[in-house]
Amino acid sequence: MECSICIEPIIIKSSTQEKDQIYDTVGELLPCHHKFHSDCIRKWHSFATDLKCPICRTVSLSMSLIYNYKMWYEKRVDIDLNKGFLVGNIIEYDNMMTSTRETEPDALVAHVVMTEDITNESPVLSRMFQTILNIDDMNDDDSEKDVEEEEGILDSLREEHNTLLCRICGDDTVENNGDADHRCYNCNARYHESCLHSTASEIGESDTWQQCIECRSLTQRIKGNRRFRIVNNTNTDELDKIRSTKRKIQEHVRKILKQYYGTGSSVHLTGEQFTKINQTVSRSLYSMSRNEYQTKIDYDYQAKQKVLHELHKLGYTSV
Amino acid sequence: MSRLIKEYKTINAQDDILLFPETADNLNNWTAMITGPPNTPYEGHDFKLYISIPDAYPNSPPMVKFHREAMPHVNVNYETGEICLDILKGEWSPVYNLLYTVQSIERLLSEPNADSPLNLELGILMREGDKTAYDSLVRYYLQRQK
Ligand SMILES: [Zn+2]
Ligand SMILES: [Zn+2]
Ligand SMILES: [Zn+2]
Ligand SMILES: [Zn+2]
Repeated sequence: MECSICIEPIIIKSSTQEKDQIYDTVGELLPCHHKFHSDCIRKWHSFATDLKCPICRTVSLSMSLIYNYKMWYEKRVDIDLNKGFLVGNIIEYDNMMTSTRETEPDALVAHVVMTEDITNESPVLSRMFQTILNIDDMNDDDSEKDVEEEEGILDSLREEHNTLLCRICGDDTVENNGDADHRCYNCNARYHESCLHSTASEIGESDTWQQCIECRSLTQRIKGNRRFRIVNNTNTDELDKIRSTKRKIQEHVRKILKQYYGTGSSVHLTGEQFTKINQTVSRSLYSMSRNEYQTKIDYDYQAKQKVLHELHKLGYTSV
Repeated sequence: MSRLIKEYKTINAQDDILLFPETADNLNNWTAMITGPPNTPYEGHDFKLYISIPDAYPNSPPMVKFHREAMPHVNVNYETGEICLDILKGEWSPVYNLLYTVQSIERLLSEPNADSPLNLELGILMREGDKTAYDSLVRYYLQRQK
């Protein structure tokens, strides 16, 4: 199949393709079912003065974005061309993505194992990893209270994350390469400035770009540093797995550290130093584990070496 | 590969089409030669078209003109060569290409459209339905050029 706007092939799933083939996102106009690269047709809509299909001139009512995700996944997101993206569908898309991962072991391996290489390549995974580290920074005891607190933070992160999605493109409004973040005064919906602009021009009302597409109130540009980076598209299972790895590793580190803490030890660490060493060593073991608990690693031994190294740095050279 | 380069390759491979970029490394300006269709007053004459490609092509249509004072036609401004054709304006679609554009202009020679006159003299004759007078005025213009 060829896109008749750019005259380039549209690459979609077929049984003969390579597993790591990158597929094009297709925009299918409805009711006429003509298909284009989603970028090509969206660009055309931003130039066109009407919503006629470029091929058959039928007025389009909506467009399905068809995402082809690796070998096993296709998802449609319907866009009402007079309104912009339907948020509900994008959330549904995220959820389906998550559940599909759970049922597809091969794909799961490719996407969930957070090797350092993958975290470098994938902003989503590296953000998720970063979040876990941040949460851990606040949490240095393994008491039940802290575990509860951690759950709470994760829940609110997930919730906060949903409210930070651009209602037009569904992407995170915080992580956007300097694109301004807009918020509706009235309903708090978030938008990318660029998305507001392109939607307004798509519907032929470029002057009204600052209006919220949900409630038509004015949106305002906002700034502000975030305490946490945001978890995106996070699968609860992945998160649980990462946390359990993290906790297992910390158990080893604490076991070693406790030998040097409190009465009967030649080392006199402050609580702060204890916490700091705990963090440093746990992190280092975590990245050494490639983010998964590895049975072939002798964690007690590794933890001891690293703890001693940290103690040396603090001047305890004889331990 | 850009859309224009692909078009260039296709057009170049067909030798019955008189449509050329000014130079092979500048695809932003093209010229085309169209032949007067049979059974029209344009028969036996060739006409040159100047085509310039906007940066936004194919999302914006190409800009096409006849040579100035060369095309007597109700939808062409005789002095400037400017053409009034729907596909060059609001009816443009990004799936059209240069070849289709040139062919549409060629078709316009056999199918003048009374609704959007750029040549008032010919427009009046056409609205009066006087095809004979229209055709002979066109012939007169063409004769005068020689
Ligand atoms: Zn395309
Ligand atoms: Zn169509
Ligand atoms: Zn956006
Ligand atoms: Zn709103």
